[in-house]
Amino acid sequence: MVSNTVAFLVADEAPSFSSELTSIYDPEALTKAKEKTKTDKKESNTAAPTVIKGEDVQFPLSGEQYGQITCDQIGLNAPVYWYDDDEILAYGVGQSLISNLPGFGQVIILSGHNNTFFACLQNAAVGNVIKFGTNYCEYEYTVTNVQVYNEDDLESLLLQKVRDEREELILYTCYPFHAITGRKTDRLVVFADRTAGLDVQWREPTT
Amino acid sequence: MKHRTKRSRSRNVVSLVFGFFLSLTTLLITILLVLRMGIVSRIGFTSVVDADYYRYTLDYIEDQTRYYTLPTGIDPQVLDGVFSLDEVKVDVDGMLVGKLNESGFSPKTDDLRKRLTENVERMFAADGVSTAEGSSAEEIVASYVDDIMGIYQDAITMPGIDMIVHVRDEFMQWFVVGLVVCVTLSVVLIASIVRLHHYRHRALRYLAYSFGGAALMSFVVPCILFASGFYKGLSVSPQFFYHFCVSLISRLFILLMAASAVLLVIMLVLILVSSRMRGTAIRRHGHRSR
Repeated sequence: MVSNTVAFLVADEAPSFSSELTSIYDPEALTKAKEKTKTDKKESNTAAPTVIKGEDVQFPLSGEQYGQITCDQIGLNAPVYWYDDDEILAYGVGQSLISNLPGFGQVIILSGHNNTFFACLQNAAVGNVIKFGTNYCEYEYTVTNVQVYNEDDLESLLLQKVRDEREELILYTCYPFHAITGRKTDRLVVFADRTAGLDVQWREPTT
Repeated sequence: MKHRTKRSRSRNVVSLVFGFFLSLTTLLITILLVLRMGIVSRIGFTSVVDADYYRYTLDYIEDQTRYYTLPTGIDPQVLDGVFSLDEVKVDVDGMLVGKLNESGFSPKTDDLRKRLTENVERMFAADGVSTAEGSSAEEIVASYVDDIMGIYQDAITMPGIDMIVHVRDEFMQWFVVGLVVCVTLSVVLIASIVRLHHYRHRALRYLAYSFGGAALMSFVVPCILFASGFYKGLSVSPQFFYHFCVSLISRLFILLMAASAVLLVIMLVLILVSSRMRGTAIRRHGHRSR
């Protein structure tokens, strides 16, 4: 019991207070994986994978960048971090811990500041294609709706979305843009459905 | 001869047992005095707050105020040049002394407010927004400056200081009681050991063993812990508080090791005196006094 208590209070290594956030995202990872697949296909004549195995997905730690979202139509280009506290939002876009990674068939909730990485969301429109690059696959999401919600209403909506077994990318930021009103209580929300990318097999398939 | 051997053996065993308990009471007295004078005292506590502590506090203030400012729409550059290391030092020291003395402390933030307000108003003016008295922008500026000052006040206050002061007060209450009990026990044990032996140098030998045991116990464990550095993995934040905790723990171990050196000196003195008294006793009474 004593050793468990000590292990709870004292880690193996001294904590890092570096202001730079860590990253497991490698933009070249997908290119290397595609080349490897081509080589394997030539050698063994196997078909291209249709699913990604769960064990091939490296889960990020809190505060780690694991992906990048881009949308050329609105000028969006932001690193995606796991977790969404104030420090992370200063460096990129944060993901809510109640959501899941792309490819898992569940909602993905990202937030960012409206005067930095998500300033371009004011130009978002239905039909825009958002690309979400990760180490294991590049996903595409097509915008289906852009709407303003009160922050309390949004909280209820997001909890409902988490319960739905449907993959949907949700980006939200403070609203209105450009207004200095201290604390803003409205949120601009962009909803997008997945239109490209492989499923991650993380549950036993039901027969 | 048999009767004398039995008495001699039982006297030695009892002396050893008393000596063991004496080493424990000596160790406890050492720990209590180290804590009281080196850690819990105001000087001991505040001397751990060093230049790194102030610098880390300033870094924390700059980070937290920037994170707060980002979502408001105000340019974080308004915070440039607002906070200075000298002011942080004065306010951190004042807050710490105020809390330890339980006298309270309010930092003087007039200069900080003035600098920040000027920066924000300049930013508004550059965007063509009026901050005249009574305007909505003036209210926003005032509210923002108040919030930043709140962040500053929280940052210069050491986390958990109220609990630390409470623990210190509890310790002070029990310190005197503990010290009196340990000293009384030590005196009783010393007197018992001295009374057990006709030749005083034999009693001094057992006292020397006790002080040697206490010196060993107050050196070995702190030395191992200090050398291992395991406490540097302490899971506390922010950085200035982590630095303070690690420095305090290091200081405790170093003070205990220094105290063990004092006990070692006492042991050596007792051995020296004992051997001299033994020499005198042999000259007077012959081999029986060995």
